[in-house]
Amino acid sequence: MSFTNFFRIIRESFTNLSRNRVLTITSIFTVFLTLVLIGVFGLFLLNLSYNASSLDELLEVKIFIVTEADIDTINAFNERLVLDSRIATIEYVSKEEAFESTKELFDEDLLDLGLGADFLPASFVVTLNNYDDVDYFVAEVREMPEVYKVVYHKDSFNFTSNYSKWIRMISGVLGAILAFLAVLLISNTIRLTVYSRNDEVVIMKFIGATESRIKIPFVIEGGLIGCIGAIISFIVTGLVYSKLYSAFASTSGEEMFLTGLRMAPLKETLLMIFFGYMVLGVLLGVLGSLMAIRRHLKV
Amino acid sequence: MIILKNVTKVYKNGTEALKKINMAIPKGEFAFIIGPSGSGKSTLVKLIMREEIATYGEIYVNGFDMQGIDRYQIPTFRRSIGVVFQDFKLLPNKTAYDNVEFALQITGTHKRDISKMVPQLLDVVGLKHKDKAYPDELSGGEQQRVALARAIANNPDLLICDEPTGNLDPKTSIGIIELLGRINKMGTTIIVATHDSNIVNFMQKRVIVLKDGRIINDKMRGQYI
Ligand SMILES: Nc1ncnc2c1ncn2[C@@H]1O[C@H](COP(=O)(O)OP(=O)(O)OP(=O)(O)O)[C@@H](O)[C@H]1O
Ligand SMILES: [Mg+2]
Repeated sequence: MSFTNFFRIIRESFTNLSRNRVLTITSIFTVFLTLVLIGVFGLFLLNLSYNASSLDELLEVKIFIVTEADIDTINAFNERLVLDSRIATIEYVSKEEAFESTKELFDEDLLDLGLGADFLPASFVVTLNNYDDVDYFVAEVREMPEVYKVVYHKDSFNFTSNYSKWIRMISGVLGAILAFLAVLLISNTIRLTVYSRNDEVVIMKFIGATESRIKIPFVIEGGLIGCIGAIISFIVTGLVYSKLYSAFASTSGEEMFLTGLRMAPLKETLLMIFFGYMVLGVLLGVLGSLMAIRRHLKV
Repeated sequence: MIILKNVTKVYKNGTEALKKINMAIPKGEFAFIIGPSGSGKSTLVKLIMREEIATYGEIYVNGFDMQGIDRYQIPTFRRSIGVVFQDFKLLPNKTAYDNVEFALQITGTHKRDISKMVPQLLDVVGLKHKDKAYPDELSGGEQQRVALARAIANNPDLLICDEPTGNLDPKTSIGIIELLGRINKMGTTIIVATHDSNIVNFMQKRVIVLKDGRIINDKMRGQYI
């Protein structure tokens, strides 16, 4: 097949799709739903694993001290930590240090915004010796009056292990159902274009067109549906993810600082979504049209 | 060129459309297949262009064995025949020129040759001046001429026509059959299934008569009966 031939087929595919507009749009929409569903759960799991990365991190506990606490209270608290045999390392982050490190994350001068060093709590970053101690230790520390908040990775880890199995299963089942629906709808759309082009197929057949020359335009049409669905899905998912990403990056330093959550890097993630969607979308489309051709195109 | 040996065609629903047909059509011949409605004319034509497959018997067309031909060989076989239908089967969104061009494109003819051949083909059927017209801007006779130009575009050895004048008035029909006569003189074998006595009597060519799926008459310079 020559190059000009290829472009002619692509152009014809567009014309044919625009003829069965309602079904085409419905098919594209189903592809869109399928991809976005798979994409959202995929991104969720990606960010989860991105956050709960190493076991070492899982041993780390961040203890934030109430902002009103004075030096004596903090020293007394430090004493208690030093005496605790479950603890391997202790690192103290003063209000000022917390402020400095937060400041580095932003372009604007926080002082200009009227935010002084006082708004961030001082904290202790503690590493435990034993993973099994983490839960008890955190429960204990949380009870203390001078503790404002405790952040540790067990939170996200627990979430991962308890819920991710279900999330994976539900999204897997839903994704499979939607994908099946998408293939079915695409197959229906292509079936209609096969019918509406029956004369052309008959002519091509008797002119001596090869089977592939007759079939390829329909396969391309299916692929096109998947491709358009993928592009729309990418635009929507990409916009939402980058909005979330920039929202995350510009939340008041406190929030990000306290949750310790990070999002998977924007550029790489977007690229991954794009290729993932394209491959999946085109695959759904081609599968749909192959199904239609097998059943309805007698060559 | 065409040989049928003991050919029987039974459709899926049990209809026995052809019964033990024996027939030979040599290269360069012009043959009509006539008979009452339902006698099996279209079925016979469909077997020859391999749109249908015979239930029993042997069929050879242009050296291809219709029973044993491989799937991938069918396009090659189809390029050695031309087909014309009662309803013309032109693509409505293409001009006369484009409809003929389409046949050459499909078979992978070189662009340079296509632009030379299409005007020649339209000239043969007497429509050189209507190359830019769309099918709905052409009369029935003109549309059938375009279909004929398309059918002979790849220079087939055999031209198969099923009711080529079925949608045309008598005068236009004679024009079409004369054109077929001229194409035949250039060496192409022609088979015309029809119940148009007008054209059969005009041509004075071979006439094969079918009735209830059997050949009941086969005359070299026949008349419509
Ligand atoms: N696809 C089919 N399935 C079942 N029976 C068929 C099929 N095509 C034709 N027949 C039957 O086979 C017989 C011969 O039909 P055919 O179309 O060959 O007749 P014909 O001579 O071309 O008739 P006409 O002059 O009306 O075109 C008829 O009884 C018809 O009903
Ligand atoms: Mg018929």
